[in-house]
Amino acid sequence: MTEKFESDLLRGSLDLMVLSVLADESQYGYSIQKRLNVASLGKVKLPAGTLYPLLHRLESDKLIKSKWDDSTGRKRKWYELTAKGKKRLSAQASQWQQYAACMTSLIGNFVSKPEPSG
Amino acid sequence: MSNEEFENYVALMGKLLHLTSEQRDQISGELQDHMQMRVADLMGEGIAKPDAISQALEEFGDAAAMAKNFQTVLELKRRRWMMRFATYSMAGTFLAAVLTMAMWPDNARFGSPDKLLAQAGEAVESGHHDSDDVGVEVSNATLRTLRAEEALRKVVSLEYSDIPFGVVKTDLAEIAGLNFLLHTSAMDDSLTLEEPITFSLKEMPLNKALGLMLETKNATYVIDEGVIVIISLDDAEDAKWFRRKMYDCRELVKALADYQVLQKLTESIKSQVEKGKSVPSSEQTLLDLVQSLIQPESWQDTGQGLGQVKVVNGILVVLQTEEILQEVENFVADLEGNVLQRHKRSADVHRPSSNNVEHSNVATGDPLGSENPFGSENPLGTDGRSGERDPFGK
Repeated sequence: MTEKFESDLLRGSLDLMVLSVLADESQYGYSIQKRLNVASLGKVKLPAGTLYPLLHRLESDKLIKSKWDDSTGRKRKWYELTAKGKKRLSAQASQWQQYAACMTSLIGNFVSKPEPSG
Repeated sequence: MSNEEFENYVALMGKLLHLTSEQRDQISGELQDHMQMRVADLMGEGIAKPDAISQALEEFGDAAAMAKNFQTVLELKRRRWMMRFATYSMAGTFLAAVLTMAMWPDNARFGSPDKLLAQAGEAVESGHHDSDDVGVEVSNATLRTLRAEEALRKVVSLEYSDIPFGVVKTDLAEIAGLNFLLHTSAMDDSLTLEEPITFSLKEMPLNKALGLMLETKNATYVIDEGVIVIISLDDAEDAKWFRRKMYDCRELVKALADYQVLQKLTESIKSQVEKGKSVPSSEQTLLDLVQSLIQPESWQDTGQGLGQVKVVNGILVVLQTEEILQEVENFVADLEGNVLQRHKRSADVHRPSSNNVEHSNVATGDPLGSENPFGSENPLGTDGRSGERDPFGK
């Protein structure tokens, strides 16, 4: 079953998600959207109306940079992390890991466990 | 694919956003690419083209909602631009005031005086003395950095025509008498030892010429313990490549505290004083000037950058890129040349003639004076290093 995350839950983490998708290699908008979808097993489906303004804001904050390229035969805008973006990603990832550990220890007992099969 | 619906969508969004045609083309191009990819994927899943287009458009969401999201980003950019504009306006006013002061007939000189500089937590030297002449003990690492700085001030003429960067690097190393290292980060960004260099400049300090030449290859340099390390421009914004440098501004801070000098510095400050607003402390004034006049975006306090600046007992401590450190050095020297000159004249007018004795370290050419200039409050630490007193906690 694919149950999407609530938007309130996503709001504070979208920047980090996009930065992490760009960590390994340059991506264009559609590929970022697809990667997020695949990585989250379909739970994060970022609409284009949210994704592109977000990319423009991250670029304005100099966390990512973009360039147009048509070497693949199609004129396309590619995004990649800047040094500042890498630093932000590293710092936020660390914070989120601690946050997740904290939440797990708080709510771990309330998570319903899957029924044993057989 | 028929783009009619998509064109309508983008046109509507463009109207809502009040975009320029260039901005509209950029956003439209990007969204169109997304749309085409999505339609192709949906058709690959067996959906008929008209339905695929409808679904892709539906997934884009309401044009007004997307426009609103873009509008928020554009508003942010506009606000930043306005702030930058206001800062530059203030900078322009200030520079005009400084230049007016400099050009005034009774102003004896304009330019960089012998400047007392402290480096990496240690002592400093004036630009016209050998590094070995510094008045306090400094570490070997600092001496190497000071020597590298001095070597890079050498005025040179460079002429390269399609020469591999490896050869250019060796040539520059010989000219400067320093080690040059091409860091892997620069190589990632396309500057390799084989990269052909065509560059010509006459009679220019090596530091400036080197910076300009590397900039054409999306690279720059940093001084790391006397070694010239070439890195990508992108990496230079990473704080790990920042260098800490100290500038002795005790005389300058003292002079800025003088109401007469402040009053004459800018009309804007003068009008603030007349309106009864509190005058900022002289150290705060110096910080404000540095951060507002030298690449405001590059500082943590005034922009999105990672640069830091503090004043500790009159010592200006800066953590910044090589390029901006150079700008700070020039700025402090010019400011000091003007403000101190005015301050001294002002003091001479009010001082009885029998006491009219100069004690300026700058005037005597002794950068630190014969006595410990920091007393028990030595901001550089007893061994000339910042140690635990590092204002950035590095």
